[in-house]
Amino acid sequence: MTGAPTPDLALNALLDTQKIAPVSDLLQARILAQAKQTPQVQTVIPQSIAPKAPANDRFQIGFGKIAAAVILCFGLGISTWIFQTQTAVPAQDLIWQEAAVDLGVDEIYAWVEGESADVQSTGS
Amino acid sequence: MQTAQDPDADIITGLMSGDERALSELMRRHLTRVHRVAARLLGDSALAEDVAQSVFLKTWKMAPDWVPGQARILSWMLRVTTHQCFDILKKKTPIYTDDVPEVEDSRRSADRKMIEDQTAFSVQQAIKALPDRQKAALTLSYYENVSQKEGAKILNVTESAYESLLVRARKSLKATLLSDSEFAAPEFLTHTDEKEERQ
Repeated sequence: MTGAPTPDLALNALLDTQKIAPVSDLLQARILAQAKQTPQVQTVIPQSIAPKAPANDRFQIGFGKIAAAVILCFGLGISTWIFQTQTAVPAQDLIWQEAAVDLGVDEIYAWVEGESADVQSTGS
Repeated sequence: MQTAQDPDADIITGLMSGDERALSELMRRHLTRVHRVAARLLGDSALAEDVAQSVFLKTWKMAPDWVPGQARILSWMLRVTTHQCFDILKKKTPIYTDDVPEVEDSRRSADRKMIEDQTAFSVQQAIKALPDRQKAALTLSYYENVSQKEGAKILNVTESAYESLLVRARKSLKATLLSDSEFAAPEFLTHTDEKEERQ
């Protein structure tokens, strides 16, 4: 006559009563069919194949930045010169106006602009 | 942290490069196990198949990002399986059926068959009543023979926490099942064939 088993053995015997139905034969085929339509995702670029910029490329990148800054400064300088050149025109006009006053021809131009008829009828 | 060599290291390269033969081999090795774990947690074989399908497709999809040597792929798959089962269990009441396969044996008496079915059902209900993580620890350790170390990784807990889950699960089951005079009776626990011969 056997002795009573320990509680652990008794529990194991009870746990062994649980059976699981086998997997369906079609499940593997279903997974494979679904996998054909499921693209693999790669979100991490492995370090071994990640392209590293070679030394000469880094030089070129640095040089490019400096060149861009120079061009920008040059462009700003040109723009400033053009702007100054354009604002100088009114000053030259002022010089001509002053010259016309000195020569007394400013009245003639005033006639042209219609300021006075007396100037026109100089023949009376 | 380096782990022991992955027994599936030979097929990981194929998985990472999208070789379907590698996926077939992976399923040949582990589909039954993954399904079994899910079925024990969910109590539903059909639902467990859905979980298994989802786990293998996720493995296939994420394979290019796998870092060899960091973990065993089976451990990772079982972790995904348990987490998916936990999510399902949180969302719904599991459907437990009397899904005990009937074994044809003409020598067994009708009474014995009835007792076995009733026992299996009672044990099933007792396991169902366990908290999810205790149920998972019991399933992995007892039914799948997973080591304490691997089990802790799968459930993402410390080894001492995993051991605690196991101890509490077994203690609860003993309190529920062995306190029942029917299950505690020696006649149930010893071979009934011997009893029948004596009679």
